[in-house]
Amino acid sequence: MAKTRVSYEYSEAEDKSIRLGLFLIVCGIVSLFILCFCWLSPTLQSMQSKPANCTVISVRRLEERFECVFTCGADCKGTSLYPCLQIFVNNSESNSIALLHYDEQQLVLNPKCSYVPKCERDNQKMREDVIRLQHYWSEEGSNQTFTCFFNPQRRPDDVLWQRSHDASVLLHCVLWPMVSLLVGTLIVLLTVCARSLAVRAEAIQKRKFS
Amino acid sequence: MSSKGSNMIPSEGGNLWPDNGAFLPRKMAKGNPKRGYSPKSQMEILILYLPDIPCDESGQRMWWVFLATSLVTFFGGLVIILLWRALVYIWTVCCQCGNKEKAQSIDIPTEVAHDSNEDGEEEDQEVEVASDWMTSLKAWAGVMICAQNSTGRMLVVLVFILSIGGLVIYLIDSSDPIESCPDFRTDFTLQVDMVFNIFFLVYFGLRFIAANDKLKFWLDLNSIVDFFTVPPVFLSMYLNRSWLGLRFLRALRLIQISEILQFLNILQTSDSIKLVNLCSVFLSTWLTGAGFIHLVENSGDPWENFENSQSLSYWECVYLIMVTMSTVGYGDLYAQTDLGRIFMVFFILGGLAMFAHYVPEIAALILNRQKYGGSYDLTPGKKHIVVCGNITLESVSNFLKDFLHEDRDDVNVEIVFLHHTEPNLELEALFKRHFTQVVFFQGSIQNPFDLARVKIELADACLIIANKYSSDPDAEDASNIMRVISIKNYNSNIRIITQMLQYHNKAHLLNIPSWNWREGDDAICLAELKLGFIAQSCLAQGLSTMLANLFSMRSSIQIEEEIWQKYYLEGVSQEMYTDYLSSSFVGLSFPEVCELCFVKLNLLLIAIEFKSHERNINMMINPGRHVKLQEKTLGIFIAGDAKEVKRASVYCKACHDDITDPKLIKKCGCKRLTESALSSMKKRQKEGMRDSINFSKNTSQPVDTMDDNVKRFDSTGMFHWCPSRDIDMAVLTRSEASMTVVSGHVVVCIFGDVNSAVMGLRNLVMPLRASNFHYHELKHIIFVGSLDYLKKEWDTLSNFPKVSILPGSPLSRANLRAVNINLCDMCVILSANQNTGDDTSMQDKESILGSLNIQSMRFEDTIGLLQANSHGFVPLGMDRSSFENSSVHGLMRQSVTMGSNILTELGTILPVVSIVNDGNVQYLDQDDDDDPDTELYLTQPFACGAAFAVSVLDSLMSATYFNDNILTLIRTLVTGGSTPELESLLGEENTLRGGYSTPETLVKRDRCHVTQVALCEGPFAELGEGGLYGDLFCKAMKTYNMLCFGIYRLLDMPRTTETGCTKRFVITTPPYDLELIPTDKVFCLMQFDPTRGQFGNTLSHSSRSSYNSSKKTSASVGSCNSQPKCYEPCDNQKYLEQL
Repeated sequence: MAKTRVSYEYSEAEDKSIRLGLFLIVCGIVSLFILCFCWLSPTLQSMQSKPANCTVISVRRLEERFECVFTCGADCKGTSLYPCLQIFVNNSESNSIALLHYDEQQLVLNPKCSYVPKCERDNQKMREDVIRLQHYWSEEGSNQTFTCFFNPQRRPDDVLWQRSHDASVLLHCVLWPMVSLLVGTLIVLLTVCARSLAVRAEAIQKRKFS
Repeated sequence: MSSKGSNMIPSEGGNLWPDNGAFLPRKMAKGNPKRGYSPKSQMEILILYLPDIPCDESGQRMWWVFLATSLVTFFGGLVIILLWRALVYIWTVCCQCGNKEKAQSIDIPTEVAHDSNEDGEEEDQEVEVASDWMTSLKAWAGVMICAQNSTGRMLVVLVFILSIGGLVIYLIDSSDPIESCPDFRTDFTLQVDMVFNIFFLVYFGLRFIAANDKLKFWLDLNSIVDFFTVPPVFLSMYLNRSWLGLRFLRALRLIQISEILQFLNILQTSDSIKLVNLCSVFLSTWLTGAGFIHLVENSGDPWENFENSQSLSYWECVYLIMVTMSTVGYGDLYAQTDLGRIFMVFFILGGLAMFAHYVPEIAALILNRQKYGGSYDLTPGKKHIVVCGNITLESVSNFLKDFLHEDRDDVNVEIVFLHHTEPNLELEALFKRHFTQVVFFQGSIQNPFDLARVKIELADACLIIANKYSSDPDAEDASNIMRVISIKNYNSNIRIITQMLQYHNKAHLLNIPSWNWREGDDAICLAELKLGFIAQSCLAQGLSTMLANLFSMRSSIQIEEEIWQKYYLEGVSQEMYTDYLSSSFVGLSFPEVCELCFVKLNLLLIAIEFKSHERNINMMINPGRHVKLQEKTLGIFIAGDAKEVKRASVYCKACHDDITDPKLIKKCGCKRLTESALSSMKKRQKEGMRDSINFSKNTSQPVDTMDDNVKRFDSTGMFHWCPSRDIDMAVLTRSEASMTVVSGHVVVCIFGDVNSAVMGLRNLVMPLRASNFHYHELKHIIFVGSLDYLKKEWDTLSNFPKVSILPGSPLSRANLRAVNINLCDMCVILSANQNTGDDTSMQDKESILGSLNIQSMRFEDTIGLLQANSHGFVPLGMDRSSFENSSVHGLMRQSVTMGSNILTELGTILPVVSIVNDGNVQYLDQDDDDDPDTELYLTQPFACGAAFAVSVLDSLMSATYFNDNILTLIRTLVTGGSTPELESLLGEENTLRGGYSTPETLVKRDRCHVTQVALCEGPFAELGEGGLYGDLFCKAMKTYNMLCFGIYRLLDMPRTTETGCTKRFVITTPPYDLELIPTDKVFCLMQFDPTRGQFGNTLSHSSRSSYNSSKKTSASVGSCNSQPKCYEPCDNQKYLEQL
């Protein structure tokens, strides 16, 4: 019986799909790294801050005003000024006085103030906002104890109202690269599998007809 | 920073704290475990981060839903297709293994089919169920989308237009926020987009059905675009919100534009297809990249809670991408998100490569297109000629220099060059300099379309220039013949003048049916003419230069100094012109007219076109007394420019008889009078003329029909002929050689081997065997060279008498001595080797070496003379005997002349700064004083007739175009009588056939040949001392029917005969008042003398012996003591004395 010859070469489409699979695998690996560096490490850092009990000690409004930028539709921007509210709390962890911020981003945006209002064109409105909050904290919020987050290593002088990231980030960071990796592997495997099966089927058919 | 702030602050500020105010206590409660408050605060805080999306109370971003639909569609479909394939194969395998499993395996694919229904691939899955309607459906879908019918074409175009429409919608929407919640009922763009996408979906389905390889289709670029743009739109209707998302991918559809245009048959040339391809790929990559940047920059990183976004408009992104891709990177805009930056990193890798590759190519395509395209616009009232073939800087500049020469009277001709490659910069500059008369078109002569572009059917002529330096002459000829065939095939009426390199290829041209030499088609065979010139130089030294100067256009240069150049250049500026002779000349005999023209009009008439019968037109050179001029006879003149020649046509005996200054001869009013007066006379003259011709025939016949039964001439009667001999008969040993050839022979040194290209030695031998010589006048030709090479040529030579071969190297002095080279009339050095090397100066090495070798040879019997010569007072009477004085000089000249490579070399370098050229000329003549950059025709070796380059034959092209008589004349002079009849015979069979001496053939012997007469020895000796050239001319014409047309004069122009100088230069057609000096030799056209053959033998023997004696004794011979003489002049002298 003559030896049957079958082509083992991949067709253009199969080649493409293998490449796509490999690309997905590479993407998965790369995105795993990227996500870990971009997302996971700041999260872990913020996770380091421990919950503590805070008590408001004093609330004050500085006369100094800060600029913020508001938008008024597309390609319309302007700056306006808002007063600075400072809320000092005593945190139970270190037993020291610290400035309260909403979260890490606000802290970075304006380390001096506790609150950065939504930027409006109208200075007065922002001022009202700030005054309302000041009023709330000085009237009702004082002497109350609430949970705050404190990072003694990185931010010994500030406490945060909330942590911006939590454990779900970890899930995202691992899940999507893994999905990509899996899909890529699946595609590659299926393509290779189909090809080898095709080769075998062809060989069988040839043997049958020969 | 500011924009960052703007997005951040509103994201927090507005809602956070005021809302917080409401639930702060709760949060605090949460912090307080005792209260156990609800965890809802977490969610509400989340809302605070998404204030941009006002449409939903939850305020949640839904972008991932859109992305997920696309990804799931794509990957799901892909996996299903792959699974399907695998299962089909598994089924096949199992089927073969055992029929039992068959039932199971059928189930599996159908299950898969159900899964994939949502992706619109139902049809595919039902192959197993109903394959017959499946195939018909597939065929129908294939017909629908294929571009072969109008429906399919319309569909394709429609899809493309809609894709562009979708892109436009994307551009409109891109100014909106990335994620927004428009109302579907009111938002116009959304509705339109929906319609588009429904169409795309349908089209996608059609394509899917029609696809043979589903996997390939699935991974097709267009499909991927569909996956990422179509599902999100449907989803957006469902969710009532829209995400700009990946809609920018629609820009990728632009890649299709070239395909679409090809379908519509708009793009046809490869250049335009390439251009559109490049542009579309570039544009779509650009727009797509900009779209991605726009998306991620405007939405921000998911892991930064979308807070690091910046608002960039789409066009800013387009700008940013271009700035980045071009590596300029201004930095006024930059990507701020991590995603954008990562994308940039990879995009720069690809985009930079693409930019660097595409932009120059696009620019080149755009800039270079149409530069030499288009078609020629005929200028009314102007003729045009098409020049093609070997278009190089050198060939074109030579051609233009000659063609557009100011001495030509009215060059009202535009020159159209057609060549398949673009001209280089130098050539372009040359065209620009002549832009009023020269146009260049890029195209192939083989392409009828290009021929139509240059309007060749209206062209006056088509000129084909051959590459003289081609390493494969036969291939070059073949390509030129193909050009001729192409043109003749296009239109057989076009007049073609082509250059040919090899003589034997000319026959192919003659065999082209529409080739018609009577209509002006001409082939200028360079090898034939070159060797012909060389052969003529063997008969009269310096003739090659003289003739070369006659047909090349050169202006006169005035030199005040009394040096040889002054006279030489005067001659150089002379050219050949034709014009009709005025009716005043009708009835006069040729010598009378000739004298009249020379004396009165300052013109030299050397030939006339003679209509012997109604149709037969013959060119007659110096026809002799018996020819009387007819009305409207075309004369061929040698003159300075065309205006002078006009005089001959307006000359009127009545009005201009007494005018002394030829410049005053203008058209006069008495023309009619003279015409009528002469008309009666003309008739009588005509009759008389016929009688005279008959008479001359009668006289010539009895003389030469001595042995009618022996074939002495070839069938045309133009050449001496002998039965063909075997090559062994012609081969001589050294001792035989020295016995055979004693003196007055021609030595031809051949450098060449078996592999060398054939030179066509027949063209060298034929002029020396012309039938207008008597048998005893024929010079013995002895070839010295490789026997292998000569065997290749022997077939063409075997029919000529007095040809011998000495095998061996021409560099061997023993060989040269054996052939008595010191006694030969002329030594010719030819090199057949084609050097393919780049070093042009090495091309002539053999010829140069050979010539120097011979020059430096010393011969015992002349040793005393040589010593005397070196002291500068050798008597010139020794000319014949001393090798240094005449033979070597001649030989030296000849060696320059001959070396085919030398000639090549000279030609190559001529118009350029000619270092190599000059080098090669200088090697030949080591004591000349030429500047390195003199043009060839100004160099001393050329002026002396010691250099002859093929490049001078270039001028023959334009000369032929303006007047095809000139080519005939030159060929008649040079080849010794080559006629179209002979050529057709050679085209039939490559050998000459013998013929019996019939009266018809014998009459053909009666033609002129060129000789050289020493002034001192002939009957003109008395004119030698201070006589005028004009007197000599008249005397020679009147007495002997000899037409003098040049002087060969010693370089230092001695007043006496005592001079050591041996080199001579050529003065072409000297003016009447040129003072003669005794050492001059005169070129003249001499009539064939039938009577001479009878006693020629004794004469030549006597003259020869006298020369031998003169050689030994250095005594004087003939009438003038111690004066130069040479073999032919003395022969002539004897001959003249006989008269």
